[in-house]
Amino acid sequence: MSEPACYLYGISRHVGAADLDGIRGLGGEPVRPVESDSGLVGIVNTVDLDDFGEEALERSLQDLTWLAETAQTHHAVLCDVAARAPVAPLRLATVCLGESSVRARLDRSAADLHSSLDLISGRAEWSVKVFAEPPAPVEDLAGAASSAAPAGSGREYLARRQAQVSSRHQAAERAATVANDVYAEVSRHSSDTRRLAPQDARLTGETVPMTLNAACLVGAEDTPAFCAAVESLRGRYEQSRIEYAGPWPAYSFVSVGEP
Amino acid sequence: MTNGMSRPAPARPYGSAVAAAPQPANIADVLERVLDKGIVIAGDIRVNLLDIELLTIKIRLLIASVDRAQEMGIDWWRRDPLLSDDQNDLIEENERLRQKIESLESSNE
Repeated sequence: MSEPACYLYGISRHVGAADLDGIRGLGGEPVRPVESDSGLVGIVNTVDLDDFGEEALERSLQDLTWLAETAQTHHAVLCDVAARAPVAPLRLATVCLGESSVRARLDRSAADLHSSLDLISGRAEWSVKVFAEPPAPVEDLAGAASSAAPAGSGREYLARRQAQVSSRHQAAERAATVANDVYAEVSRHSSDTRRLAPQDARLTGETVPMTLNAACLVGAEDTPAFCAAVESLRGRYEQSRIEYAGPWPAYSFVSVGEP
Repeated sequence: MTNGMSRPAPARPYGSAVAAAPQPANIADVLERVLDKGIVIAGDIRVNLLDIELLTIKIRLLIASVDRAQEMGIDWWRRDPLLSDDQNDLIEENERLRQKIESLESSNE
């Protein structure tokens, strides 16, 4: 009889079963610790290979509803654990055939995992996003341009198009300046920062483009100053929407080299 | 947003230090991180997450049914991206020009 398969959410230290009490993961299974000799603890729950075997996963990962729900559960478990102990998040869908296999993997990457945990202990990831200013209404531009040429003429049309184009160029330059300034300012209150690719408008559902998608690693003691800094940036750039959210597990600041 | 999570919001690790956390993670933030960030450890079950890169997901979002997207709380289909405004401008402009040509042609006859 083989061991039950383990879905691995993240890696922690000094975490016992009592610390994870009440946290439920995929399939409503209780989340439990798997401790290795190297002093690392895998955060896992049992999964059925009928759902998390190779073929099933290949199929399910293409199902957007399944993917969204599984991603949310993965994130929720990590948030619950992070509220109790530092945890280095793993990428989605890491499945091992039993606890001994989890331990072997933790031991193999022990040095990298320990340094990742050292880096994120007492810190959390925050997201800071900047959206471009809404474009100037087309009627205003047309009004300004049409004084020079009779309405409906080709010249008026060209003037209107030119005004639109130049207004867009200026808006793009301004948007880049705001994004750089916000990034520099939030970096001053963070232990580390990353510029992630701005999210596509179709994914955000916004009508204006995202110009900054920053991930910030912020220490517990720096958090009030970090939040105050973002609030003050919001006041400075009232036309650009600035969003921030957190604290999240530090996904963007952990890595392990292939052993 | 319905996301299959019924657990209460986790306690904030920093207690009252964070006066008001502005927002929890939305689905785009979560997908971006769990698929593209985080530690990669090869498990016994090998899956290729590269096959489902964010780009693929975006495309899938576009072709996903409205019902499905609505379940996930994403309502991008209500508002097309900026570019569609330009397209509308051009269509209107074309229509105006076509009418002008017609009126010029008829006055020349």
